[in-house]
Amino acid sequence: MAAQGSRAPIEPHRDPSSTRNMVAEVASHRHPSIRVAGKPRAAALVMALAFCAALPFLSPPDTFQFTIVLAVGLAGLGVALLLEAGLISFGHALFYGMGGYTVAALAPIFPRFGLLLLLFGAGAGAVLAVIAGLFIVRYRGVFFAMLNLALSMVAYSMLLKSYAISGGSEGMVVQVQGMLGHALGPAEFGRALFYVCLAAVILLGILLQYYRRSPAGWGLGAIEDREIRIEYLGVPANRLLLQAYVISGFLGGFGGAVAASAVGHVAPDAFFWTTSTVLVVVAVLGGRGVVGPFLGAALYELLSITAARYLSNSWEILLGAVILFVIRFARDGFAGLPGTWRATSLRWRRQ
Amino acid sequence: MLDQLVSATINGLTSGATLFLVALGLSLIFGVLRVLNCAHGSFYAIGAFMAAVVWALLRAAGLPGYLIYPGLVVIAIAVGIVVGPVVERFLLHWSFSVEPLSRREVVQLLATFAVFLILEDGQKLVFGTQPYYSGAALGLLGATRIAGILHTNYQLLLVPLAGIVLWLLRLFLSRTRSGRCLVAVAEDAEVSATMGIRVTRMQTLSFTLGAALAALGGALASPAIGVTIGIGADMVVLSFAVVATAGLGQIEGTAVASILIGVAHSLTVFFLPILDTVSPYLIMLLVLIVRPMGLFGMQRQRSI
Repeated sequence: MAAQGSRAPIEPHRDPSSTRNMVAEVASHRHPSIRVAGKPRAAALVMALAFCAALPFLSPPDTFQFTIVLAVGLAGLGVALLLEAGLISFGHALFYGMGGYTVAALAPIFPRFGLLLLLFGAGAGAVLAVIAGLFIVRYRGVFFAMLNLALSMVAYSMLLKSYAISGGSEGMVVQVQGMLGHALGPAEFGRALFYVCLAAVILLGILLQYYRRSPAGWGLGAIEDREIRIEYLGVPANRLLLQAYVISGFLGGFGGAVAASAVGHVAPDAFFWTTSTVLVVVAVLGGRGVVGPFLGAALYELLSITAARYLSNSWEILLGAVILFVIRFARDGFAGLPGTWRATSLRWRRQ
Repeated sequence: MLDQLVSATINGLTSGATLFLVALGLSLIFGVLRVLNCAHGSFYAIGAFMAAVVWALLRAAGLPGYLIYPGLVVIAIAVGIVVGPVVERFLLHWSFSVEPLSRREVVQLLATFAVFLILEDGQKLVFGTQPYYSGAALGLLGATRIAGILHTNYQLLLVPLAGIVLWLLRLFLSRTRSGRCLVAVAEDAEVSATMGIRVTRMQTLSFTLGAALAALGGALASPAIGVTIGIGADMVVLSFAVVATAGLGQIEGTAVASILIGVAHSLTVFFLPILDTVSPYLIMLLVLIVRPMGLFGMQRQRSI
């Protein structure tokens, strides 16, 4: 199903006669942020990516920070994907933590194969998502949100108890010291990890964009709108959701694996609800779309650095206020702000 | 063995009683506003903190300790009246009143979640990060020996107290004018609006009631637990587990489910400690696999 749609061009404006483009037009009215990149936007995107690639040279000590932004952005992308189906997961720390702990567990076996470990981490997230998803995709709305949360809480407390395997509350040390079989020093490894992660972000971003433009991807929005109607059209909603859930688990696992490799340590906190909070905030801040969560992650990181300096103990107040602000004034997140403003000014002019 | 079983069951019943109060509030708010209140645990925590603070103040002022018992109820009502309408009107209603209908459920969840974050940090600012203990309030009513193990009378009284609250709520919903309006709004907000019921006022009322119930649960539980930052987060998931097991919006079902989960939790603490924190969620997951709408929930028709 996905393969058929992925051959179509990404720009819907080029050929206004095809039905696909009509669907895209209609959908882009509903969600201003799902407007496929035109030429100026593509140019901006390429420039932004080039800037990202230059970052470790512009500011070498902050490479670690940039890697974390990418990792959190990847996991947030998973949450944002489910948001397109109108579902919010308060428990995506489950996959984030799973990715991290998988890397930690396998690192002693493949200490010099950092990339392989990342893939294992992401794969573990996807496998876990298949198992959890078979149960969870049957639910919508608050049940979906809270069941995810409950699963992650279960994982968290199991992890604390199984001291022998996971190191309990102390966590585990992650010893990844190389890529593709080459041993690397800490600074070199940090930089290599950043570029591997950036490449993964670009690749996964492109693939995900194809997925979102495929019939299965459009189906997610339809699930939010009129689920029963698409079931009548012969599209199994739960199966579409399971696909999206597994993809989002994969992304979460990947993000967790990158973060664990970068930090060099995993703790049960990765499974705690506060981590899920971060992922939700990142997805909501950035807005729908592939670029949004990375923008959200960068904003989040900026906010947290600023907050750590000026208000150390009341940082979540700021986060909560920012979420309320986004809900009220920027319903498609920061990436969708231009669209939101356009829609608002249009409404005012009509009145 | 049998002694332990009896003791575990009694402990489960008492913790189930406070759990019931919190879950009842959650269910009530969901019934009328159709919002799952993520900030519910914060009301529980605020109630618990206030109770501990009032206890410490009573001690410091040299007043008799039993004043704390009526104090707990007053605290709960005060928290409900002060926090409930403010949160509902100024934060929740303000933030999602502009949303188109189709996205409201996600957005409402997010909004309550944001409120939860704000309140959670607000507690840190107001009450500090040190734990509070007011365990001495437990012993004032004496203790009873059941099956060889001493239980404080305070905790034994929680169960009938929760029963009284349930009875009062039922009475309120079926006999008073505002109670009936509340039920009508829960049934169908649009139709009740056309009948002249002020839906927004009913929403504020139910949110206040729900917040007061959660605060009452927290205030009553506070002598038996160490009150620290973070109890609210645990409680909101736990009370959701109760409500989901029962079926959203089922009042008597919530009572059954909280007893079930409270007792099961206490039994696992005694006999299977490796599963103690997980048992409520395992029960919820098992129930939801068999009955997706909860034990007492009913399938609602979905429109095309």
